Amino acid sequence: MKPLVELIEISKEYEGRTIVDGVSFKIKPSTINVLVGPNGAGKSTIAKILLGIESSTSGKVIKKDNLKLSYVPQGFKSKYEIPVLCSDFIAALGLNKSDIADIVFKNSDELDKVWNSQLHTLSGGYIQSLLLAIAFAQKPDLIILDEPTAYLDIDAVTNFYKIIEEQRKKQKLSILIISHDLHSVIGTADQVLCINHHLCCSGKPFKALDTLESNIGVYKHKHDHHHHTHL
Amino acid sequence: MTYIIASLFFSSINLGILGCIVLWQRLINIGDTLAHAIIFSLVIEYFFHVPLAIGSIIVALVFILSSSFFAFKKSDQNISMIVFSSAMIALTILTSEIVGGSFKLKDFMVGDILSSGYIEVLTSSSIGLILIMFLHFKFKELVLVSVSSELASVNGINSERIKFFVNMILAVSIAISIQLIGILLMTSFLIIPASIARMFSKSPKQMIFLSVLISTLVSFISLILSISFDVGFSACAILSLASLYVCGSFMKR
Repeated sequence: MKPLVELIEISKEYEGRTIVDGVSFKIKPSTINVLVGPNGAGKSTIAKILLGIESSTSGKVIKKDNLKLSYVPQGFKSKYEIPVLCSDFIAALGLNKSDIADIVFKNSDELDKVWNSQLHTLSGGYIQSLLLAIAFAQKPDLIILDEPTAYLDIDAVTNFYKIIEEQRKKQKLSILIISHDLHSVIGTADQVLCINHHLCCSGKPFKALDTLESNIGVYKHKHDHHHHTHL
Repeated sequence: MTYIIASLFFSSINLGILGCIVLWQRLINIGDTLAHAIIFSLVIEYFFHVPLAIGSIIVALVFILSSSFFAFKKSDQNISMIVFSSAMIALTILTSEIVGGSFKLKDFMVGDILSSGYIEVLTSSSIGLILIMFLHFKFKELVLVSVSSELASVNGINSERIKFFVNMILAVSIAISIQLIGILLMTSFLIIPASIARMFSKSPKQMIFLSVLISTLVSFISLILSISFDVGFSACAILSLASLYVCGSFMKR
């Protein structure tokens, strides 16, 4: 099956430092992919190169023709200076209320509350939910989620993974999740890529929490060196 | 008088709109350093006999382009703007001293509303037209870029192009308005109407409308006060705006 995206020997240098060093991988259609690695490992940089927000120093990104991408950035916070209702923000992205209903907000009161709120007043959790709903509503081929579970408790993470799996099956899209959690990943992931500037290892997670009816899986690293954190 | 009224009317509209964009994209530093850098047009006028309005536009555009160029070279754009702006002020002061202090520095500092002429009216009305066209055709893109340039880029919007266009329009508008308002009060004239409008707005369109309304009303009230009491126009305008800002802050508490 032809991949949606292929990264070939991608490197990125910034002010003499190598942030990403010769990373190659493929994302196939209708798959869940997880990019794990410690803080400062270059995960978000890889995502931004893939999205076209940043350019690579060397290497190549091959994308399927007319590939449609959606993105949920890490720690998004709207500015006070621009007064934007969520409804206007969603409209500016070419969507309407019915497009985002039933994806993340199961309760119509909750959706109404978000719909009529100013974007800058939403809490981190609501912002994350809104951006996720928008990303799915745009019906992309590939969604990139940067640290989507960073501030969620275990129940919320389980629920989030449930939504991801539902939408993957419904829309037949691919998902790339970026996470600094090295071991706990979505249980149904097709590919886990461990990054620490370079690609350390890759593989599939195994289910560890079946008894808790959880979607969380454990990824066992197949490399013999430690992850270095860069402060 | 017709030129003064027309020029003030168009400049108020332009600054009312641009003030909102400056706030949304946190470009306050650009407005401030640009206003200071434009003083260098006095040197161009002295040596090359270029009209001040044209010289100001040239200086403003060169300033924006050069500071963007150095930001591309990974240095911080805010720092490069402060460096260029300070260097241009220093060069103007030195040149003024060398040629015997014949520059109208004071008029440039506090503005001279009587300096409005045909060129100012034509340029400010053209800028107003371009701004309205820009808002009409690119409003959604502008809002998205202001909310998040990353999300805008992923959604197919060329954020850099939008920001570049905003900077160029800002440069020309400030260059034209500076002769009326003066360097010292330019940033306040740009920021205060938009800041007051922000307090009472729930949408970007509403904010622009209120900002333009405040900017225009205050300009004409200040013009009347300035003529009636024979005092400086820009000082009257800034005091009126500052009072409105204080009242607005109290009302929103």
